[in-house]
Amino acid sequence: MSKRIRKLQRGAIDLMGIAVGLTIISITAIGTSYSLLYGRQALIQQEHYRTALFKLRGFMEEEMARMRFSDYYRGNQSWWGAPNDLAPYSLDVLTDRDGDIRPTYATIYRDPIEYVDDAITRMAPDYFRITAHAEWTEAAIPGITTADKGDDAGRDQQITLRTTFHLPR
Amino acid sequence: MSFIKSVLRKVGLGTLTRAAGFTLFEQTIVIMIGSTALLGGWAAYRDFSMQWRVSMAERQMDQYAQAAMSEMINVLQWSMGSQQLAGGRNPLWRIAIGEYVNENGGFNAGQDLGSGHFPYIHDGYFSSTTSLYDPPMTGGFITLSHRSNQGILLNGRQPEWANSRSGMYVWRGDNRSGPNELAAMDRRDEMSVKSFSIDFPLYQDPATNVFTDEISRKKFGESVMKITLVMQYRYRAEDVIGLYGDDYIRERVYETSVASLNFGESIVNNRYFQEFIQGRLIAH
Repeated sequence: MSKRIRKLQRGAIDLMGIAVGLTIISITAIGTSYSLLYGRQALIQQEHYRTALFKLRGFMEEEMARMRFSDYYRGNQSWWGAPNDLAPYSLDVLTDRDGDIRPTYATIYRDPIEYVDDAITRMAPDYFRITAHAEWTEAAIPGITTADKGDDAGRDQQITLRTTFHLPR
Repeated sequence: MSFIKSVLRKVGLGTLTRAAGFTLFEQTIVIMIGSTALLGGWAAYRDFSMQWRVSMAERQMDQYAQAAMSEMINVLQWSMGSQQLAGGRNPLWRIAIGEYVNENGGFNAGQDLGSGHFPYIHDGYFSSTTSLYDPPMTGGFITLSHRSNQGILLNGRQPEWANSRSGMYVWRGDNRSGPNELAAMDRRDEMSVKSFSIDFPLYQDPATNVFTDEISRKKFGESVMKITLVMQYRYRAEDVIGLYGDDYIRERVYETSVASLNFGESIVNNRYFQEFIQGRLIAH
């Protein structure tokens, strides 16, 4: 093999080495970047869940207190015997990340309050039961305003809580 | 080329050949490529490290908010009611904690941290005063406030579960020198409680207008406390060429309502209710 060919081969091997090295570095960089971004997006979804959960349980306690501490609501079966809801509740803070977010809104509502009466106990009612729900749709790319409209169809989320309570004497 | 040669000769570089001119040109390009790569690498490194910090701090903020909200729900549900002592940006509330209800078999001797399940010391208000009408009741008030760089304060102090000295939560990192040089949080990172507020949402309820007497109105209006916690994480990095700019701010708001299980007539002889809602005479 001539010197000239050997020289060309060495150059080609160097180029190959550089290409492979750059590819490995790029894949590592892209992978690290995406895992960090994915982790932060997962955290946003977790925060949405917590925000909705706290608001939902608060809504239930307010409804419970309305029944416990006011004759106005307790005697109004058309109120407690019918569903009730909150205005759409934003799970994001509008000033977050300099406002560079697409707000996610949750619907928070309760089913009719159940009047649970067991004939054996001679109490009427034995207790009341509230079932309430929070529902929202996570954007496919949470927190990013620049996504196309088609990208918005993310997962539907729902939390359901149920509790029972007595009326104070 | 004779032009280049004459220029080189005029600046005293007449001995340089054409190859030397080519080398200079090549060197310039190599330096440009090299500096672009170095700058890009540096920017990428700074971005990675910032993303790493931001995600760590966001997770910490999320954990603090979760712990604080759970603890507030526990304390307020345990209480017999609450009063605002100071309003404005730094509100101060006092929460009535009674042991009359005999939770945990009456072992909630709040003056002694070791003997009860309720972990905060109260001022013994109900223990040290007696009602003219009712049997004595033990218990007292704890205060609730906040400071932006310490979070929620119970009795003016950072509670154990949020104590930064135990390393649980870092509100502001140290200088980037010494043993903490490689710590995840440094002086550029800052977590704070922007605001913490309590109010009585049922005073806004249409039903409050139905009550004809003040006691019933208060009993209904103050039966629920709404707490709102605003958390902020801020990263000040003035020397960054990167995705987030030099001042990155992340904010979260958590809100819930708590109905005290011991409020009003839910328990027999509720001293807080008698004295602060009904305004009945108490002997001190």
